[in-house]
Amino acid sequence: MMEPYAVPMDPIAEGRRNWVAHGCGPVEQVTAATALTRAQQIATGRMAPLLAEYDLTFAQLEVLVAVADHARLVGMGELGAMLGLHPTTTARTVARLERARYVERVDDTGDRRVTRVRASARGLAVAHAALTRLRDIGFGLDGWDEADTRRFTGLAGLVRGGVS
Amino acid sequence: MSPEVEAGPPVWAGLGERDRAAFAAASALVRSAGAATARIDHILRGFGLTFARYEVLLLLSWTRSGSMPLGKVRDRLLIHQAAVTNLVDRLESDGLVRRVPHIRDRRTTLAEITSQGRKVVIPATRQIATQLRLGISDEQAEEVFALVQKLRRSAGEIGAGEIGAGEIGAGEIG
Repeated sequence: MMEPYAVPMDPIAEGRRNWVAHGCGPVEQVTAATALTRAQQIATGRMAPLLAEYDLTFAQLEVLVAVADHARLVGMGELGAMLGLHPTTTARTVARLERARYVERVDDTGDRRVTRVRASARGLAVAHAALTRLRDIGFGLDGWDEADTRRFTGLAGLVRGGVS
Repeated sequence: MSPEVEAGPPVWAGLGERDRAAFAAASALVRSAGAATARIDHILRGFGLTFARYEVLLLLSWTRSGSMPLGKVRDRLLIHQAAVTNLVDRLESDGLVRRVPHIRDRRTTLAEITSQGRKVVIPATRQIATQLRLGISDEQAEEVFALVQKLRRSAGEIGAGEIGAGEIGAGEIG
């Protein structure tokens, strides 16, 4: 059992102060990166217990909703592009959802190279129930009003990974 | 078999535009946090570090003694004890950190940055400061920080009067 230590009011602001005080250079980008990481931990930490009741992670729910939101079959490539996911990640998540019987793969009758997916009746019901539960906790984003939410989506949409 | 999905309950039934916007924001948050981490990890790869391990090193490098109790590392980085253990294990096997007993309290273990750790953390920091571009301007980055501070305030992680972006000028310190 570790004893609690005197923690500064805000470790992120403290890190920011130290970065500047030690002359480490521009602080804005690294602060935003740290803040995003922390915010993600807070939001997914709030959502995870509710999603666990449906045996889902947030990433799996995103894929399920994207599939369920379409009134037609969705191709794997299209799905990955829609969510900005790597093809391997898309395939793995779909396989996981398929095992849970939330989605079904359907071979394209015209083109055997193409795999399409659709939500099962159970998958639709689960997606709807999970979204409703998440709505009740504000999707883990308690503290933001609607303007904040939209502003954030716009800014976060600009953040790109990989090599500059 | 018909390729069309039978008309079932629409997945967003009973939910509004506001809920769709919040779901989109949560998705954007998860994706952008992953992207930011990937960018920093990419910059740090040449130093044999990840963002998480680098944060431990940086924290230790800022202390007077170069060391800090493991429990304090946990509190300052807002991570779990198990995560601290894993990070320090790896840093220790790379020779960048070592575990040392606390002089007065034998139950407490400190993580201490080694001279090799210091040699790595300085250029790594310079590289991040000069190369990290998230795809947003510095002004937008400050806006992101201010928005995140609102979330953290509501989560009870920081107090209502805690300093946020824009309230602290770089010129006021040091």
